[in-house]
Amino acid sequence: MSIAEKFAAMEYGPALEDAKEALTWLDQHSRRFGHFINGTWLEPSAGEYFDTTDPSTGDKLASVAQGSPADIDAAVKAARAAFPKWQSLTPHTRARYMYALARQVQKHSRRLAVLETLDNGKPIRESRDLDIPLVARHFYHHAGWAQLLPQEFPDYTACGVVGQIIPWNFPLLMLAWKIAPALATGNTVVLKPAEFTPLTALAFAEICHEIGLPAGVVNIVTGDGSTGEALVKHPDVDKIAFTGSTEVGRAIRSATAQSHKRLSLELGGKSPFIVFEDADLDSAVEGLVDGIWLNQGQVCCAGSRLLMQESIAEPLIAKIRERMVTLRVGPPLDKAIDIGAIVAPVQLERIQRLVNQGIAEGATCWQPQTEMPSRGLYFPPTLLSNVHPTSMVAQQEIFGPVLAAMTFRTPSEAVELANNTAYGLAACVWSESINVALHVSAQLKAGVVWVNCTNLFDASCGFGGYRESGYGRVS
Amino acid sequence: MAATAKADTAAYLEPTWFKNAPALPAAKSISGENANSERQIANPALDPTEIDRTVKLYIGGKQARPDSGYSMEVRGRNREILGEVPLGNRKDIRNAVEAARKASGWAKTTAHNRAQILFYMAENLSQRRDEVAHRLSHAVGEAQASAEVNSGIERIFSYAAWADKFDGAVHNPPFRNIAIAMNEPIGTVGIICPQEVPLLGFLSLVLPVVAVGNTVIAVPSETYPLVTGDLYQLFDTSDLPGGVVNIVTGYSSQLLKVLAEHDDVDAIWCFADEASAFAAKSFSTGNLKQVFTNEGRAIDWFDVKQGEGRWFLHHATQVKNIWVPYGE
Repeated sequence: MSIAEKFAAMEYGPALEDAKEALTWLDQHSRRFGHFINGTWLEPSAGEYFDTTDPSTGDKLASVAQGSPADIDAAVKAARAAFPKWQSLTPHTRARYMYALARQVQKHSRRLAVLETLDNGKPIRESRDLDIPLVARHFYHHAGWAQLLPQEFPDYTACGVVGQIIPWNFPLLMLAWKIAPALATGNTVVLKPAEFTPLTALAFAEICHEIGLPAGVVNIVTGDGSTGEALVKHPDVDKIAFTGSTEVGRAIRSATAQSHKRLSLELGGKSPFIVFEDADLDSAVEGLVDGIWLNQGQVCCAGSRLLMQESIAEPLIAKIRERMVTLRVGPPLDKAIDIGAIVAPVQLERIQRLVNQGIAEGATCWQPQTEMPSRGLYFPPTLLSNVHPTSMVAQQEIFGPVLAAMTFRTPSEAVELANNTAYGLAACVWSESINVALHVSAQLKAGVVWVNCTNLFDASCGFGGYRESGYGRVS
Repeated sequence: MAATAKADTAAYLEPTWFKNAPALPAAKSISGENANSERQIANPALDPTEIDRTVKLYIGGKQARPDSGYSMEVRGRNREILGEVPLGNRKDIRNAVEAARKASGWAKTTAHNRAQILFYMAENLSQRRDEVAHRLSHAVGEAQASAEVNSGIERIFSYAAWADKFDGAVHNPPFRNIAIAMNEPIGTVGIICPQEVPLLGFLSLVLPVVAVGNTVIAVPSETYPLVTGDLYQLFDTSDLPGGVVNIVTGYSSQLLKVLAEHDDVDAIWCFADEASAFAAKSFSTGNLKQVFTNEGRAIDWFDVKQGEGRWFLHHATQVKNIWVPYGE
């Protein structure tokens, strides 16, 4: 057997990340969390708790407080009381706090990564190498803005008390994107983490306490949609920042319309991944793996529509299938896993339903014969080809590891197809020709365009979409 | 505010003057919807030496009669009838949106070219300074009228200057990439102009939007919508392509609803009273277009710090971050 053959035949052994420290942390809190309001842990006023579970096993991780309107009111009052002092701190003092948050996140980065993977089901490789480093980066970057605020934004003032509602797909990262710029500019915050994934936000609350962040500057209230609704409707909130589904975004727009509340929305997407015939196909396939199978495709800017130039469609599909066979689906704490668990049963059902509908509308479905775990919420990587541009799977956000592929002939047809959804969040363009790539980039209706790369995020670049993907280059 | 690069930070900030701005005083307007039809008492004293001037809608670079076939009377400060303007409706807005969409090539003209057209506009307004001020004075008094024209000329200069200077940025993320942050026009913007400053208010909102390459459907002040006649003559003589600015006169609350609900209007700017600001947000819930309003607060349009600059340009653009491989 040659070395090359040995490499090809080699099997991965299990490489589980140890969850002990994260579980110990949960135990230290008796696996039960209240709200973090005014710098202390408070029992929910209605005494209600709900369970948060590990989607890869279904095991309960902890009980978490269900926020009532009274809890939201207490949190908003704490944020309001803390606002004048926080806003009038010298920029340097605020920067110090934010710098301390960044440092503390880094010191506990592995515990946070493991906790994120336990609660969300995403591969540890992603939470460890992507989510948590970006969280630290975001706090460092905005610590800088806190320092530079009066020089760079003279004559500008903080909005006041900001209500922030974040999704479950990048729980701590979305928290950082929301909290870091808000605190840097002198606002105080009431944040509601997603119902499915509250744990890292609670760990972050503890970090705020550890670094001595003044009480009331950051308040975390956990709960479901009704908790979010109470926050949106609270009369003493100056701004709502929301990341999540277009449907909920609309409800929030409607609920805040008769008020002076400022609003920023970062909503859904159906982002095109455009591959031209002169692209480096191997790189494009690797990009695609990252584009649609990162975080099981549960990414608002996932490259979920593959647009291929007709001449290379066949070889590209062949390469994609070949690559899909090597994707490993399994326990997210395994360091050699590519695709982890879907966050919740309701999401898994939705993915299955939309895929079935795509097939019914004429798409060809292909899934590799991947070994699937016997328990937990998993969905195999899925390729739908021959998708009609108007079919449901080409228009609706699936939010799962499902790629819908179609073809085009000319750059202008690619642009037309790419822009043919109600969304406009992100896009990828693959071509070795700088002329083609930038010519097409200019015409795409999207807030982010990645040329020969995908899913790159940074604190220095605002993120947000066009059209029904929301507004405000928020984070 | 410095570069758009800081958009996510800016999302949590407000101009200090705006945050502290008082509510707009209740409308004093006696024209438009606020007029309690007093046609029988106010007799239009026909001046035999002057020919009545018919003001029309301005759609796609052409003067157009309204679909409704009705007119709306415009009264001066002393309740005298100054003239009539078309009563625009849903159909006129739809035609205007279509014309604005057809003019989207404006976004692709060079900023240098747009700047020249704006300077040309200032030249032409300057030349007609006295007659425009004279007509406007019937509605707002001589002092305000001449101040509006003078400040209006300056405002045009400001946005002619900005047209080729509101640049994007290049970010240096910690990867082998740069991100080119382009300020792109939003597309087609519907604008409800301030009531109280008919000429300067119109210019202060329409110009930043147009300077960066958007097209516009504007509803002029109900107090003095006759300004439309002066404005389209200004645009027609300044090489502004037809359809870039469209003007529909009428009851602004009705036209606001049509604009806000229209799926092919990308943003709505509403600078009237509080109820209008709320209506703009409510009516655009279905299509989630961007909404920019004064929240019913008073803006001093004559104050350069409040009435012009980056705050408006920022709302007239959206950032597209284009990540390209760069370096080793």
